[in-house]
Amino acid sequence: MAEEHSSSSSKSSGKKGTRVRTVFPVGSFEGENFPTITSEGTELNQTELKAAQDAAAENDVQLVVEDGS
Amino acid sequence: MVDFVPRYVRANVLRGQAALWIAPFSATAPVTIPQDTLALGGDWAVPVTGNVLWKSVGATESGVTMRFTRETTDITIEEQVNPVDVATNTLDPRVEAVLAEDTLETMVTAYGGGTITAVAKTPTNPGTSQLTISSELTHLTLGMEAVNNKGFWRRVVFPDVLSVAEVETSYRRAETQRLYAVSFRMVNPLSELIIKEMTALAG
Repeated sequence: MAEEHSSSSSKSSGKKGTRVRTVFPVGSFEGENFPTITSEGTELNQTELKAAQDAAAENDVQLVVEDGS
Repeated sequence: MVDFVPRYVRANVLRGQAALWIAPFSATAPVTIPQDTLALGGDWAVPVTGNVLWKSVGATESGVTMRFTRETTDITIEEQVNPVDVATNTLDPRVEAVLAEDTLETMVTAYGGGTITAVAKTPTNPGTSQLTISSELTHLTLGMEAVNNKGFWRRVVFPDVLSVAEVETSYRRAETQRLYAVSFRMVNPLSELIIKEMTALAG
């Protein structure tokens, strides 16, 4: 079962590692400042994750942070 | 004349609405029924006790209908006027509703499947969402919750359903709201259908 949790892990910016996915039924979420995030999951660095979360909140799209390890 | 009243339990006569939840179907990591500790009316999409993949279908025009259709064949003999046996030909459990929230998510559900691509707004461009309808039906997991005769939850989970309704949406000035009929047919084995209810508080 997927579990939402904070993205405040200690990864350095510019390094991939946090897996994020869109919540059904949104197939993908796209923007200028972050890679396309799919419902299958996409790895983002901390900068991309913050930008994506801010944009998702503004666009009423729910993102799930799956794995911060 | 004898004043005869059959025995009955008044509290077992129920009415009331049901909440409908859908989630993507996964054969490898199925979305399961919420934990027993999730209270009646709780959000199935909360982590831990529920699953974030559950999504409410939203408002309906006239509630939710659970239909259980069994087609049978009578086994008869010349020597008996009524059947000596009744065999099941087909069983068709399904859940039907008429969705009343006019969103792309409702369209995906009603039209049988598709993909919504959301594009975030930028300083120069507005945010957009584009729906692409798929030709093949998308498998879903369907959940339903209502109150039982003890005042606790009753939950029904159809692990694998397909949305097969014929959808007709009228865009009228004032006559009616835009509606999307949905009919979810169960395609998993009957033994995987879950109907579960809470019977007592913990402790």
